[in-house]
Amino acid sequence: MDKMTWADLIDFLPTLLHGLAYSLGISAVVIVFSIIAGVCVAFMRVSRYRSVRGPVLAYVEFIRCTPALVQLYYIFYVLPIFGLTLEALTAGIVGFTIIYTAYLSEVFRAAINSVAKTQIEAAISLGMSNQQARRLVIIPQAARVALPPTVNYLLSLIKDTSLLSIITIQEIMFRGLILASQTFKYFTILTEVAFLYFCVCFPLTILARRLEAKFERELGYGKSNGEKKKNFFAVGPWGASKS
Amino acid sequence: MKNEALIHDGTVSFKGVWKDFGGVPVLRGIDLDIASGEILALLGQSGSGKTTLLRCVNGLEVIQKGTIEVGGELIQDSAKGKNSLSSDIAQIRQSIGIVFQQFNLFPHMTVMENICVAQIKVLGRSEEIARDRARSLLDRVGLLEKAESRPLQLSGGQQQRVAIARTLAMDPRVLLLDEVTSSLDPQMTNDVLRVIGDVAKDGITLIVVTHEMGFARHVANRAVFMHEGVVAEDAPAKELFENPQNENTKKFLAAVLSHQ
Ligand SMILES: Nc1ncnc2c1ncn2[C@@H]1O[C@H](COP(=O)(O)OP(=O)(O)O)[C@@H](O)[C@H]1O
Ligand SMILES: [Mg+2]
Repeated sequence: MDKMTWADLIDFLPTLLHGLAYSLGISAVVIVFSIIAGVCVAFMRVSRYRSVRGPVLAYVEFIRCTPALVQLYYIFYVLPIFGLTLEALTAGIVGFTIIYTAYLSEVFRAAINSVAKTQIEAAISLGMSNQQARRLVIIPQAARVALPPTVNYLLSLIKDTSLLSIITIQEIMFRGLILASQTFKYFTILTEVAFLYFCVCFPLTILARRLEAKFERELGYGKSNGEKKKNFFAVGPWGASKS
Repeated sequence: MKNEALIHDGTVSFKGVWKDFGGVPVLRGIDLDIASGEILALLGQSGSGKTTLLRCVNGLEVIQKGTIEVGGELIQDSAKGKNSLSSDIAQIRQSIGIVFQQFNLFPHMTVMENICVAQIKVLGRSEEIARDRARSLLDRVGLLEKAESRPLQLSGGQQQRVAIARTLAMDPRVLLLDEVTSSLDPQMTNDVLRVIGDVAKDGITLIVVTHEMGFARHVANRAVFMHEGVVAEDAPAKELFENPQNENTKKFLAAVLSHQ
C-alpha cells in the first residue's frame, strides 16, 4: 500500500478538483432537464387517458428496472451501431437525463397525489378553473413535498456521474483512475476522491433533512386537516418509512 | 368578464334531484325551493344525504336526474346527458360559498393569502382592495392579528373562522355550511356559531347542516328534515322543532335533544 502524504494529496488535488467540477457541472445540467421533463412525465402519469399513461408507465418502469450502467453502455456503444453516434459528453447528459427523468417523475407523481382531493375542491369552490387550481394550489404544495426527495436524487446523481468514467468523460473518477494507474498510489488517490465526494454530498443530506422537517411543519404532511395537527408528534407517513 | 357575477339573487331550486353512487341511491327525488336570503337548517341522520345535497348545489357532485338552479342559472340539468354541469360552472361557483367540516384552508399560504388568492385571481380585484377586504373580514371574525399566520398554526375554531372569511370575501349570494362545527370543541363551536349568526344578518341565502339544534332553532327561519334521500318534513324552523309532524323527525329530534 502506498503511504499517504500531504505532498501527494496536494499534488493530486487540482486534477481531482477539475474532475469534480465536471461531475458537478454535468449533474447540474442533468437535474435541471430532469426536473422539467419529470414534471411533464408526472402529469402524463396521472392523466385520465390510458393512451397517455400507458407508454409513459412503460418508459418509467423500463428505466427503473435496468441498471444505469447498462443504459449508459447502450447509448454510447449500441446506438452507434444503429447510426446514432453521440459525443461522450452529450451521451452522458442525455443518458442521465433519461434515467433521472424517470426517477423524478415518480417522486413528482407521488407528490401530486399527496395533495388532498379536498384541496382541489376548496379551490374550485372558490371559482378557480382547473388550471388555476393546479397552478395555485396543487403544484405549490406538491413542490414542497417533492423537494426533499429531489435533493436526495441530486445526491445520488452526483455519485452516479462516476459511471461516466467508463465512457471516457473526464470527471473526477476518470481522472483519479488515470492518476492512480500512472503513480500506483491507489490508496491516496481513491481516499481523496471519496473524501471530495463526501464533502459535496454530506451537506446535501443535511439540506434534504432540514427541508423535509420544514415542509412537514408547514403542510402537516401535505394535507390541510385539523386532525393532522393533533398527530403532529406522532409518527407520520414519512416518519414511519424512515425507521 | 372575469369579475362579472352571473348570479344576482340567492334563490336555490331543486327539481326532482336524483343522485346515486355506483347504483346506490343517495338522493331520491328532492324538490325544494329556497328563497333569496332564506336561512335554512338542513337536518337529518348521518347518511341521509345532506352533504351530497350541498355538494350538488355547487357542482362538486353530478346528479343523474332533475335540475338545480341557483339565482335563475341552471347549474345542473340531467337532460344534458352524462355531464350535466353548466359550462359556466366556474363562474357560477364564485357566487356560491361552501365551508367544509375540515376547513380545507390552503396550508402553503398565510391566512391573508388564503383570503386574497381567489379575490385576485378569480374576481380580478387589485391586491390592495383584496387585502382591505380580507382585513375587514378578519376583524369581523376576530382574527385580525392572525393575518400572517399559517393555517396549521391556528386552532380548529380559528381555521374554521378563516375559512368562513375566505368564502365571504367572494361576496357569495348563497352560502353552504356543512357541519362546520362538528370537529370543534364547545368553546370553539361557540366562536364559530357567533360568526355564522352574524353572517345570517347579511341577507345571504344560508343552507346550514348542523347538529347544533339550539343554534338551528334560533338562527334559521326554515328547517328541512331529510330521511333516506328524500325531504321528509319542511316547515318554519320554530314549527318543526316545537311540533314535528313526521315520525322520523320526532325520533331524530328526541335522540339529538337527549344528547344535548
Ligand atoms: N363519494 C361517495 N361514494 C360512494 N358513496 C358515497 C359517497 N359520498 C357519500 N356516499 C354515501 O351516500 C350516503 C349519504 O352520504 P352523505 O351525503 O354524506 O350523508 P350525510 O351528510 O347526511 O351524513 C351515505 O350512505 C354515504 O356512504
Ligand atoms: Mg355529512
